Amino acid sequence: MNVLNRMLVILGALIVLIATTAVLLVTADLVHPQALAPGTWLMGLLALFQRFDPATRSWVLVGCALLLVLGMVLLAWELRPTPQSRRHLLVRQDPLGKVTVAVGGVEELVCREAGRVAGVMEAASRVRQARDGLHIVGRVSVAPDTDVPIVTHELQGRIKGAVERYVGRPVTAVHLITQLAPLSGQRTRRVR
Amino acid sequence: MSTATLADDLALARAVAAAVSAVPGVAALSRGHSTGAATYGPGDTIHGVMVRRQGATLQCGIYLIARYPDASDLLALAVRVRQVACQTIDTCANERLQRVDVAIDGLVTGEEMP
Repeated sequence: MNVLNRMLVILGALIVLIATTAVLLVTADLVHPQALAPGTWLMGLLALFQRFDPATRSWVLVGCALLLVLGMVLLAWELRPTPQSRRHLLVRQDPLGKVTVAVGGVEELVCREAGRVAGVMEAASRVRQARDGLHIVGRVSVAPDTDVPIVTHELQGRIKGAVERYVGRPVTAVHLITQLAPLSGQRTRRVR
Repeated sequence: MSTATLADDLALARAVAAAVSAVPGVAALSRGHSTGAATYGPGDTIHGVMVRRQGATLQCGIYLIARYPDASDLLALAVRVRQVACQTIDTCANERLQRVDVAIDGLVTGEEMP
């Protein structure tokens, strides 16, 4: 969804939340319409909700509660922070413009490079931009007959080299967690 | 903005999209992650290339997916993409691009073409 559509949805959700809260307060007799409405036309509209019979009022209150929940869910969804994998690393900025690479793409690269090392069955990674360069945390599942110290050493060198070569940014830390059991999680890549 | 300018921008975006897609190492154009990475015009939309004008200057945003391992250096790929975009605009419209932003949104292998 582009920025304009997102702003429209946020605005719509805010309007729904404000209107529903006003109707809820008036219907529940907690506030007088005069205290909420800035104009007479809106006061008349809100006053309608006070004239309902008790059964209709109950239905209005239930409807308002549902709308409030819906509005809050919509607002929270649209205001959620961008996932780490969708963020971009700035690779170059010059007078002609910017060159950026998605963090998800670099994480994908790490997994693919890990898959080229014999004995690695699955891989998952997280890439973080720090002041001194890129920090990579990788999780790999290896075959039972693998010599773990040798494989992890090879992995560290290979991942650092590949990311620096592809992305052109220094990699200052590669932390690896190696295990024999299969990895769990959505961002796991089966490489063999 | 007039309809003629929108159509011109759409034609430019289409030409840039075709030229960039043919660059070795580019797997496909991307729709972008959170922003509308596209040029919109009458009856058509070009995804992955955003041509925009700010006053008299022409700017371009290119969103792409790189092919692994062909694109062995993403920065070099981005530089090639910029050159191709500038040449295309120069040829098609005899205009100079003031700014070209390149966003590499992902990597795919040959078998995983989007």
